[in-house]
Amino acid sequence: MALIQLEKLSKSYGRGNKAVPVLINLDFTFNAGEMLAITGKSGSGKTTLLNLIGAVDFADSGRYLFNGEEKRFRSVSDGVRFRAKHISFIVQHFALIDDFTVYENVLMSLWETPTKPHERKKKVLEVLERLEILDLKDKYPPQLSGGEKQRTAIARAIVRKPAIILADEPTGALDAAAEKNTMDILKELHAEGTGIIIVTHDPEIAAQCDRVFELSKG
Amino acid sequence: MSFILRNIRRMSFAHWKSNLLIFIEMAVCTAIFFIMLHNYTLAQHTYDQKLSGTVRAQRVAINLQDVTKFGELLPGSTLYDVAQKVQRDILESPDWVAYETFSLTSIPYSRDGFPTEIPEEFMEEFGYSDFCDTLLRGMLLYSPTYMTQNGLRVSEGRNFEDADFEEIDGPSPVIIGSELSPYLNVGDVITSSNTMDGINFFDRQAVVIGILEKDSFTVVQEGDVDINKTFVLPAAFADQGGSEFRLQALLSGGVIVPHDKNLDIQDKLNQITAKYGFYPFSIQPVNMNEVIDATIVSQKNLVLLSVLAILTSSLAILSVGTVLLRRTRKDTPNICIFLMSGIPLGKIMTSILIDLLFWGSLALLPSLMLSWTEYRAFLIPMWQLLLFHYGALLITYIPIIPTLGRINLDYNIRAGGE
Repeated sequence: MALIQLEKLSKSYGRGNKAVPVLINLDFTFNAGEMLAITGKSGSGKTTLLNLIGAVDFADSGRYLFNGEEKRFRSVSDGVRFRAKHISFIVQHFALIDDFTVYENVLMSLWETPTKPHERKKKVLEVLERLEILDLKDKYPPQLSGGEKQRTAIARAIVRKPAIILADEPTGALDAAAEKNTMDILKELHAEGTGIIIVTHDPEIAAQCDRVFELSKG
Repeated sequence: MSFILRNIRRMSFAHWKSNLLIFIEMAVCTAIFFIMLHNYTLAQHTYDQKLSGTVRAQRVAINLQDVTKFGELLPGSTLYDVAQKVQRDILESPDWVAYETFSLTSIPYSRDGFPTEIPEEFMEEFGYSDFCDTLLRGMLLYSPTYMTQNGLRVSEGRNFEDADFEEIDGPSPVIIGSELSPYLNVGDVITSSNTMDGINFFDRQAVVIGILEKDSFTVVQEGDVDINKTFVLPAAFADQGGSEFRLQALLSGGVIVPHDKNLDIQDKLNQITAKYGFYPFSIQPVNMNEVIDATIVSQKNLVLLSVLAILTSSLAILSVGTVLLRRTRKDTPNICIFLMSGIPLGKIMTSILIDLLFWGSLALLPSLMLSWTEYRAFLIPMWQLLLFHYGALLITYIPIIPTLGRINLDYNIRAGGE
C-alpha cells in the first residue's frame, strides 16, 4: 500500500500574471519502507516536491494522501504537527543550531515527543554512538567537519524513528569519503524499514535507490 | 519546558547585544516614568507636609505693633478715617498684592437645614455652643484674592468671583471642602439656623457653588490649616461683611505678597504709616508663597515630565520593538530549524516572550533600587509601574506575532545554506 500518494498536485510561485508554475497536475506515489530518488534538472521542482511531501510548503491544488487518509495543511503549525509524527528532514547545509551542542541538536527532535527526560537522553546517546559521534556530543557545530555535521543531522533525523526521512541533496556539501559514509547510513536505515526519499542530481546516488522518480520541467 | 529554557539560554548568549539594548532602553524608560509618577505623587499628597515646614518665607503677614490700638478704631472716629486711608494705600500699592486674612467661624447645623445628614466628625464645639450642639467649621473671606493667592481651586463647580462678595439677596455662595462632597452637591441649598426658646439667633441660607480640590490647605503664621472639612463663605454670611471687619482683617493678619522678592516691605509700610501718622506695623513671614511656588513649579515639571515620559516611552517602545523584531528576523533560520524538527510555533513564540519579559524584568530593578535608596520605601502604587512596564513590553512583542505567523519555511530552508 502507498504510504504517500499525491494526486494532481500543482504548485506555482508568485501571484497573478507573475505566477511561475513549478509542478502541474503531478501524480506521485511512495511506498512504505521504499528508498526513492527524485531527480531532474535544476528548476524542475525537486525540492518543491520534497517540501510539499514534508508539509514545509503547501500545494495550490491536488490531494495529499498519507496512509490513505487525505491531509489538508493550512498553516505552518499543521505541518509542524505532521512532521513531528511521521517525517524527518536532512538538508544539504545540515540545518544545525550553532548555539546548541551536538547532543542538544539531536535532543531537539525529541522535545515534543511524549518521552521522559532520562529516556530521551538514553535514545540520543544511543544514536550518537551508532553514528560514531558520541565523543563529539559536547561540541558545537562550528567545531565540526562537514561529515560530522551531516552525521549529527542524520542523528537528529532518526532519533525519533520517523516513518520517512526526506533528504535534500544530503551529500551535496560533502567530500567523497563523507558522501559514501552518509549513503551507507541511509541505506542501513532503509534496510531497517525506514522510508527514504532523496533529492539528488547525482546519478550515482540515484542508482543506489530502489526507484528513481524523474521530474521534467513543470 | 525543556525547549523553552534551552532556547532562552541560547538567545541570551546569541543575542546578548540586543538583550543589553532592550535592558538599557527599558531601564531608562521605566526610570523616567517612575520619576514622573513619584513627582505626581508628591504633588498630590506631600507638599503640605514636606515643603511648608522647611521653605524660606517670601510673603508676610502684617499686624499693628500695638494690638491694643484696635480698640480705638471705631467707625466715625478720626483714627478710623486715617486707618481706611492706610488700608486703601496698602491694598492699592503697585509694589505688592495685599489681601485680608480669613476668619474662622462656626456655622450652626440642624438636620432640617441640610439635604443630607452631615456626620459628627465634621462638627466642632465652641464656647457658645449652648445655643446649638452642632456647629460646622466655616472660613470667612473678604475677597476672591484669598483663593487666588493661596492656590485654592475647585474640582467641581466654580470659584468665587468679585460679585460673590457684594451684598446679595438670596442664599450666599459657599465652597465646601472635598471631604464634604459625599454629603453635598453643587447647587444644594443649605440653611444654617440657631434657635433657642423660639428665638432665631441665626438664620442664613447658602448655595454650594463649588467643591475644593482634594487635600486643599491654607497656611497662616502658626502653620497649615486643613480646610477639607470646611465651608468657605464670604464674610457677609456671618454679618462680618462691613467695612470695619474688612479693615480689621487687613490690619490684623492681612497678607502682603511683594512683586519683587527683595523689596523691603517694612520700609514701604513705614512710609505709608508715616504719611498718615498711623500706628506702625510689624511683619512676620508666612510660608505659603514658597509652597505655592513649589506647587506651580512642580505642576510645570509634571506637565513637562508627562510629555517627556510619553515621548520617551513611545521612543523606547518603538526602539525595543525594532530591536526585538530585527533580532527575531535574524534568528529566523534557527526558528525554521525548530519548526522542521517539530517544535510548535506557539512554544517558539512563548520562549521569545519569556526571554523578553526576563530582560524587561531586570530593567525594572534600577527603578526599584532608586525608590528604595532615595526614599527607603516603594512610594508609588506598584501596580502603576508594573502596568506601564509590562504593558510597554507586551506592545513591543506584538509585531513578532504576525512576523512569525507569516514565516516562509520553504524559502528559509532553501536559503539556509547561503
